[in-house]
Amino acid sequence: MNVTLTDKEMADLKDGLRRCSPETIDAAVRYRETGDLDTIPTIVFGILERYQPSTAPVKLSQADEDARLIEDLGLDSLTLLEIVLTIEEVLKLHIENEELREIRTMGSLNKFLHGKITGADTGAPSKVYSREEIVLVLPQQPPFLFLDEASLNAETLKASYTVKGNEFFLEGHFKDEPIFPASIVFEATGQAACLWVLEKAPAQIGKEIKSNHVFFASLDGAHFYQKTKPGDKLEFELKLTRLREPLAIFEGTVTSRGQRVAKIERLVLAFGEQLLPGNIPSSESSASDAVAAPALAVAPNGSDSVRS
Amino acid sequence: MKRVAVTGLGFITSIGNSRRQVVRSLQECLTGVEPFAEFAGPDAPPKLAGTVKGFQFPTAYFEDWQFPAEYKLTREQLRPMAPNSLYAYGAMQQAIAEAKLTPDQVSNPRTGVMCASGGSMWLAYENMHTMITRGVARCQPMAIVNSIPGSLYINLVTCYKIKGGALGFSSACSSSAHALGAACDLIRLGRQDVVFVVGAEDCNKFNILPFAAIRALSLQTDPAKTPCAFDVKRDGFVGTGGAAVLVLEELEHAKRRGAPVAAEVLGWGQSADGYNVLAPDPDGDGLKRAMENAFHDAHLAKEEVDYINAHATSTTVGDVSECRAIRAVFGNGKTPHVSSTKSLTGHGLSLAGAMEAGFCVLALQEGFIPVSAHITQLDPQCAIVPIVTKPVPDKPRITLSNSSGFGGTNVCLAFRRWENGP
Repeated sequence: MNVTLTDKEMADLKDGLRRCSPETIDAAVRYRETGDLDTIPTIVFGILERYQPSTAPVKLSQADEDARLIEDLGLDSLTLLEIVLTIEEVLKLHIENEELREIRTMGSLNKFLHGKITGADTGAPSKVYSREEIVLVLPQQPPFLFLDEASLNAETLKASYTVKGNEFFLEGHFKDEPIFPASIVFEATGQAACLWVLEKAPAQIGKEIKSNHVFFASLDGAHFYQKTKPGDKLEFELKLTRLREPLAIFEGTVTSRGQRVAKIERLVLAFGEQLLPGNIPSSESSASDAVAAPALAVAPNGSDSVRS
Repeated sequence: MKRVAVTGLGFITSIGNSRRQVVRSLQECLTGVEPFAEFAGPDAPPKLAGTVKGFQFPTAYFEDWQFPAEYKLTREQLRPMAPNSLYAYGAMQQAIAEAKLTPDQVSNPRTGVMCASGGSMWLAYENMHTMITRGVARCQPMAIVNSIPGSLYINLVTCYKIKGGALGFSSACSSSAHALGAACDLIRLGRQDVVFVVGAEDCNKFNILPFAAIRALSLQTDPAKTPCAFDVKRDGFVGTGGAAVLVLEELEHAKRRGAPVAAEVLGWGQSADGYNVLAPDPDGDGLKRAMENAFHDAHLAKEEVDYINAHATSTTVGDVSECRAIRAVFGNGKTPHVSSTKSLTGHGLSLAGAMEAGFCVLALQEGFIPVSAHITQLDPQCAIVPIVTKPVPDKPRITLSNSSGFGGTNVCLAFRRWENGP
């Protein structure tokens, strides 16, 4: 990853790091422009140093990996919140409240951030999203939201949806025989992948992704094995096979009561501001194809329109 | 019913950041108004403010703020504050020292705090701007506590470890007068022994300039000429900020601990005009009733009153309405001296009531009557009451402090000089 921060990004970064040492700001710029993980301890040290009260029992310069943030470094809970907000803003990631509880020492903070960014095990359990939480993240909304629950990990995700029977399209699909459409099964898979991109990808690429900046790009090797009807619980399992801006590529399966319902060899989502109309780099014709068909409903696409 | 003493005062005001400076400014008619840097640009119609000296707020980040070294605040204490809380912290430190209250007496279930501030419009704006432009997750953790009107009691309770009743009053420019009335009642009913009365406001374009839209601000650029309450040339008020704190204390409690009694709070009255959101009742009927209620509450004969610190902000309609109210109250009988100290300080909005109550106590204690400054030609409509345009030798025994706010809310507070009894 090699980018150059815009003037505004640079100004925001410096504002977020006001009163931090010049070394901290340099490290943060390097991280944002190159993704260099070696900069993280410098950034974290600089942010902690800026917030540490002068009355703290242990000075940061003498603190080792085992130094406790509250007892030794003298940081109260609100100061920790300020630190978390600053780290989130500088590293462009989101730290959950549950994750915070596990962080008690300098060492665990550095390890946590390193893991969070690289996608390695952070020691924190994968987060389970309820339908109410999913609604807050995804651009897809009822009645066109086909996920009840999802849990996201660094490179995998699981999700489920129980066919309710009152979905608006079942009345016509089919007459007197409600069958959950195969196209909607693929749509639901795409929604699960979209959730992963919005929640997990920003930390891994070091960039924010807005919910209306994710687009369906292509679906290859999509097979459908079994029809499902009201009451059936669809279970989705996806694995990330590649993440590189502007594409996230997944493979996955859909099952119901242990039986295979569908398989997808390659599901591609495109994301990022540069994909918006009028903002397309001319060299990226593949991305432009993705924009040309920003349909969120999956229409299986035989031709591999997007090549990463 | 228990009696109420004033045992301590604290001031961070445009005319001084200590009792000594404030007394001198009031006695020598020294204005706190000057050209205000925030109003220098062409977009600000008024050019003056009653600036608070010794405090600087160059950015919304509290770490950039400068204030006198005698006020020592930790990062954790300063972080949730707006300028109004910082001013109040300083004034409260002075008042505690003057009242000779020990830390145990300050932090005590029998000690409360009644606060009044309009909140920090400035920080509210900054916080919301951050939230809208940088996202909800980037909103300042202190965005609510540093900006809402309750910010004042939130901060003071925490800094001074207050254990008794704590709340905020919101009745526009009569807020801190209401706070004093409520504090007086708490003590009279035996619910608290000591109550801090606090009025505080920011002093910046965010809480002053909106008044330009209703043409309430003086456009005069010479601080030697404005504000000039009761004068024919008055053209509106000049904004100010700061803080004033009064320690109200149950009289016997004060005597037992040998506290220095500055004055007695005799009682108070309140009313509403039932008239208009902005304009006062032109006949001053609401304020008249508030004054009469105060006399009744204080068991005071109106002839006993020596001085009225008028609300008079130097607006054309407000000053006349108040003079009519005073005239109506006193009829053809002896009418006390009337002056507006806002002509020296500027109008402190929610701060005004407590600040001027403090001035009334100073007038009783130091034996002087504040002059109404900058009057060259008295408005005949105001001359119906005895406006103090030149120093008078009288030493007042009973003083009143009037306050009125938007919506036509009125408060009159009554104080008596302390003469060691009865």
